[in-house]
Amino acid sequence: MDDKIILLVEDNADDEKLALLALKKSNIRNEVVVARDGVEALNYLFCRGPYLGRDVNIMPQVVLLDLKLPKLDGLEVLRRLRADQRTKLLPVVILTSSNEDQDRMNSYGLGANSYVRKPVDFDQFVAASAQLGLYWLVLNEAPPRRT
Amino acid sequence: MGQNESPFQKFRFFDSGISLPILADVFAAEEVLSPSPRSVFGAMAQRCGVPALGGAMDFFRQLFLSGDFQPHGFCYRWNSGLVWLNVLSDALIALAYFTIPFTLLWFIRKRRDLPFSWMFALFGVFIIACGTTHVMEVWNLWHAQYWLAGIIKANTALASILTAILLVQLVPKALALPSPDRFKEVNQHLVDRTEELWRANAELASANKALQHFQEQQRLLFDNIPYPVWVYESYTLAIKDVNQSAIRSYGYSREEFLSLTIKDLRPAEDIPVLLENAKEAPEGAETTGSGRHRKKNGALIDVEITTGTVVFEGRDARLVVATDITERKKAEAESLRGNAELKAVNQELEAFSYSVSHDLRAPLRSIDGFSLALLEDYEEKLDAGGKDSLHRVRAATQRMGVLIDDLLNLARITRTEMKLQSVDLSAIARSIAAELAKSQPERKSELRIREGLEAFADSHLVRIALENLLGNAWKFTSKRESASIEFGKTRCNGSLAYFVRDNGAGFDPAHAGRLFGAFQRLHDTNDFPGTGVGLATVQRIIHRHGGRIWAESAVEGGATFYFTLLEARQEGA
Repeated sequence: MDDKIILLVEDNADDEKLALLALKKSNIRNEVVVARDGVEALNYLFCRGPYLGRDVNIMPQVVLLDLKLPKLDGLEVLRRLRADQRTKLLPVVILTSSNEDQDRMNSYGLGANSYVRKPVDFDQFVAASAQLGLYWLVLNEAPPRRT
Repeated sequence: MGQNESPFQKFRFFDSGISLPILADVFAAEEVLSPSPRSVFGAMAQRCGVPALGGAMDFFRQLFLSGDFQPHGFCYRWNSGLVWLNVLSDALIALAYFTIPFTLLWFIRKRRDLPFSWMFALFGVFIIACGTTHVMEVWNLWHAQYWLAGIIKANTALASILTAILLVQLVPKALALPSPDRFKEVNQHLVDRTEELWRANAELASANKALQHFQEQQRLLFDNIPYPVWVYESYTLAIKDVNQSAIRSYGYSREEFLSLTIKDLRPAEDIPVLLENAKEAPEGAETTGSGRHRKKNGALIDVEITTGTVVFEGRDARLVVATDITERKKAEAESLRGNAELKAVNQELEAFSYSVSHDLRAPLRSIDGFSLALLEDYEEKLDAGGKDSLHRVRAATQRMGVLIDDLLNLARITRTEMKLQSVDLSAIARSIAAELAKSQPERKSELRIREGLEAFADSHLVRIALENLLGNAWKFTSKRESASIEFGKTRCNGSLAYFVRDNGAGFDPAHAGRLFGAFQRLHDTNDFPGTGVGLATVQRIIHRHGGRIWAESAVEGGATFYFTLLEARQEGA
């Protein structure tokens, strides 16, 4: 499971650090690629811009996507991922502060696979990260890869 | 007279020396030779060989001569008893006969309406003539002027015959005249008829009065209709009648109104539409529309107009009831504006909530997360005081996280759209009670839920309200050896209210006013944890359902929370 990449789309440095810390505390040692805004996330996934030379066949096992992002927000990123054949089936977990109805509605509506609210209590965040890792990296069978 | 022989042979005709047989001859000859109406006396004069005029003079002279006749008393041999008997009798008869015509005359003069009054006159003449013959009887007793008596008698005879003939002719006509009884009858009939007419007249007058009263009443009603009403002629659009309310509202006098057409009440730009509508107005049907009217002072008002066809003074007309809806329209516009404002406020609130939801919690996560990192990574370097401080930082941070969540939930309750339906409150309360009991199975408690309580409500919101109320009851009875919680319905202050009652800590009624305020707490957090949003949330839910909520309690005396909702049976109302 070590080759399975996690793409973390997070603009807040604190949250990024806490997420990485929580993953580490949950004993998840997989590579975590961090994109700090929506455009960077799409560039990485579609091998564009700074990620031009990246192997397009290598897709993350799961995308942890924040909703409030600079340039391109999380919902727009999700919409573009679902609109593209290459990322149409890519597992996307919304990881955000909000539990607003409209956010959950829009996220699921655009094809999010899961919606997780980041708890204030870091202990709970660690527990949530551990469960996420266990589920998406171990239990969940990814959709078949295209050749 | 009338002795043994015929008087014509016995006596000579006055003193003329002409004997009666000669007179008889004259008569006979005249009859034969000349039927022309020549005077007997003229004939006699011719016979005696005198000129006609002179003969007549002779005749009259001889008429008043006695000749050689004996007076009538002679016949009675001047028996004084017999003479006077005759004199008195004839005189009395004559006297009586002479008075009768005057009585008759007096009678006809008084009764000028009498039919056949000429007959009375004729009677008068006839009776006078009779009277005169009796006078002559008396006269002849001493004076033998029998010719004169004869002539008078002849006249009497003539008058008698004439009267007799005319009387015979008159009788059928007189019989045709109504008798006094008949008159009486007719008169009675007339009296009856008159009475009847009087009565009818009185009735008519009374009916007239009633009609007038009715008309006045109608007028009063018409004038007192609290809406402006008028009648206009369909063809000319001229206003034909108007009530007081219209006069008051529009500022025109009655006379001014009656000189207007309904076009004059409209602003110029509305007239084409008015004419179009007037043309299309269906016969008989009542129609309602809206428009604008201009008052006498120029003010424009919005009106709702109801019209119906009527016949007024024999012409097709329409009755109009105009309701001034200017204020209503203004209120509607204000309400719309208010709604728009409310919508804007709601959108702002939503944006605010969204921002709070995303941005306010993120720093808390950092504070909590890095506090924990400090505690873990620098465990050896931190003394007990430092570690305690960091634990307090974490506790406060997490509490703030909960506060933010409660606040967001409260805001969400205001924003969420309600779906009203019949809701089984008892079932909801049962499931909440079961969850509470399961959450602390060690607690001794009695939860009584009345069966069959229903309401017309949003089930999701009502569940949140009951969760808070029953949750509070559960929380505030936690220090009781045995909790007693009841959900039911009762009549309170004249209306039916649901209630949640517990035997818990209760609260000081003096602070009841703060009970439902957000973040208001009447108890120490250490005794009973909480953020003070629960009851504010419940109140908001009840208010959104058009209900009321209030509470009764005493310190350590338990608490009862009452609330009202729309009744289930009001569904669709």
